[in-house]
Amino acid sequence: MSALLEIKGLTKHYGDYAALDHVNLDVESGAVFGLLGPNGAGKTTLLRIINSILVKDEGSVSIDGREACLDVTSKLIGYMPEERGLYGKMRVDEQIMYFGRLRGASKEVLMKNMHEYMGIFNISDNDRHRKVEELSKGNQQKVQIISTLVHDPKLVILDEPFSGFDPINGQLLQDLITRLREKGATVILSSHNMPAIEEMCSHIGLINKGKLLLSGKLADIKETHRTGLLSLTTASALHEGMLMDSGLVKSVKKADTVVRPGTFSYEIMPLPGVSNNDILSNISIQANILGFGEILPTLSDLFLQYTTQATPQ
Amino acid sequence: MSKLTTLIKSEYRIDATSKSFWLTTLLLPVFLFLLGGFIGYLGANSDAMQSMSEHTPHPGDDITGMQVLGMLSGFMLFMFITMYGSMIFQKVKTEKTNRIVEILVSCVPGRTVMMAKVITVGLLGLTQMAIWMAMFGAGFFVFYVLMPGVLPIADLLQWKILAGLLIAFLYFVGGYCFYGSLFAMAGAFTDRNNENQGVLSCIMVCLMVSFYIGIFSVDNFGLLTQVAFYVPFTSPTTGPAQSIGGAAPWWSTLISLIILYGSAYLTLVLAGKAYTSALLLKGKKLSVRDLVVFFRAK
Repeated sequence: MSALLEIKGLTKHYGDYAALDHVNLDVESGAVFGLLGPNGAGKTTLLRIINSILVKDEGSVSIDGREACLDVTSKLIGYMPEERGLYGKMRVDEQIMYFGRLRGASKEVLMKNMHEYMGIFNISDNDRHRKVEELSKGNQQKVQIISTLVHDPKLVILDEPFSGFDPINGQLLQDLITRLREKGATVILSSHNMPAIEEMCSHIGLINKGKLLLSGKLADIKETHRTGLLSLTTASALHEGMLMDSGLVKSVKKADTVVRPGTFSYEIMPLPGVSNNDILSNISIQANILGFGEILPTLSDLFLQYTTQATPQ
Repeated sequence: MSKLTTLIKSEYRIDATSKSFWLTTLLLPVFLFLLGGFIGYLGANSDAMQSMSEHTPHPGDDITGMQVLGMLSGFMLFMFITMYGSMIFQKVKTEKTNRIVEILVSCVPGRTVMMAKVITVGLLGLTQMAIWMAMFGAGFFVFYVLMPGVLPIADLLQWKILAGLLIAFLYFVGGYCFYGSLFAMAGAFTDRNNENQGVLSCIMVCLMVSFYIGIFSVDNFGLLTQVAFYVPFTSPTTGPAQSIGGAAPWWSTLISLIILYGSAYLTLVLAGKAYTSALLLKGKKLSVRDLVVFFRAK
């Protein structure tokens, strides 16, 4: 699959401070890309440069094979920044059309898309003709999202989209992102909501102190960061000493949370070269096995690992 | 439709249909008329006020009608900019504090947004003035019908007066664009906590100085007046007084206007840069270093 967004050697300084330091990143067409990083890492600076709001000091950014400039990015990108902003005194439908027109879309396309998205987000006919300041905060955010998507952008960039959303609307947004992906759009999500990113994103990139520490397919990244740790659930308590004496495992400890009440959960680190079958055979003598599997690192684990060590990729 | 036209059309429609716009437009002349009548009543019944008006300086006998026209033009510009410049400032500040600015500059260059603000507010101002002139004209017409021959209409339609009005109009538009861009820049630097509002005060001081130099230049032609004729901060008020009054030759008026319009455009470009770059300012006091970074940013 070809890259929709290609970033090479991107550097941006604010005085002596390097907000971005030779960042190389490709986002495949049709991917849902999660952009992660602690506060002040450079995520927002990166997104602003992609959107031609800020100008880079070095490097190149291209979208769909074309060098990113405002004429290109204003049409191809739908951008929702972290800090939301709407004209309070404008009507909902006028506002959506207004931002769509500024992005260069035709009136017909905008009308069609606007009605479709209003149906998806359950915005009533009554609310469509109201001023934005008269809506609830949740509905205002829906209007903001619709304004971002109404012109059919190829690349959708959402900065902290779940902020301020209740679980119902958060689910609506997740469904929408899935729908966008099915329509062939590419989505970049910047968020601290790790579970949501883990669930929705096919690719991730992790930035810290202006450097890209990690990027690629999420499944591949988890695979390469496997520790071999195993999860075990039994109907009765294990004799941990017996398992340690078997010479099969390096460590056994009770898990912090149990899978369900009345059961016992453990985390087991096997010794190198030991097969899971041998471990299961040993355990099955002691207790009834209810569940067994490998624990892959979560996105939170990777985030903490990389942001505390700050090793460039 | 170009993006500039979309911006202007949308903002103009929202502001021109707002209740506050129509309340100001319709009530202000009535209020001023009543105030004038009240002051007139007090003056007619107060020796102190009559004495004050006797001691108030009047234009000398050697000041011509054309010079008075030039002075009035500068005065009109001063009033217009004072009224509508703050409107530009508020619009830009509101967009910045609402954080709409980040979405806008991802669609449209910053200087286009600034240009739209200045033009929209100018159009709103002209709309209000057109309505007031229509109200005044209606009264004028009634007066003329009741007392024909009192007003020398034919005398007013001389080429000299029409040329003077054209020059006044050119300085009016150029001066408004220049100061309007400065107000837009002030709005770009001001946050919801009203940080950096000192920039606005500096512009108001420049405007006041310009106003007084404009009056001074009606019958004073020294070095100060000559320099003020070309400096864009003061030429909108000095220019009409000198050009219409006949003190400045046509070629120096042309140079003055070119400098004024060029400065207005440059200020608009800088205001656009400030609008985009000042995204990075969040309730922060502006330093000289920040200014250098903003204006050097592409």
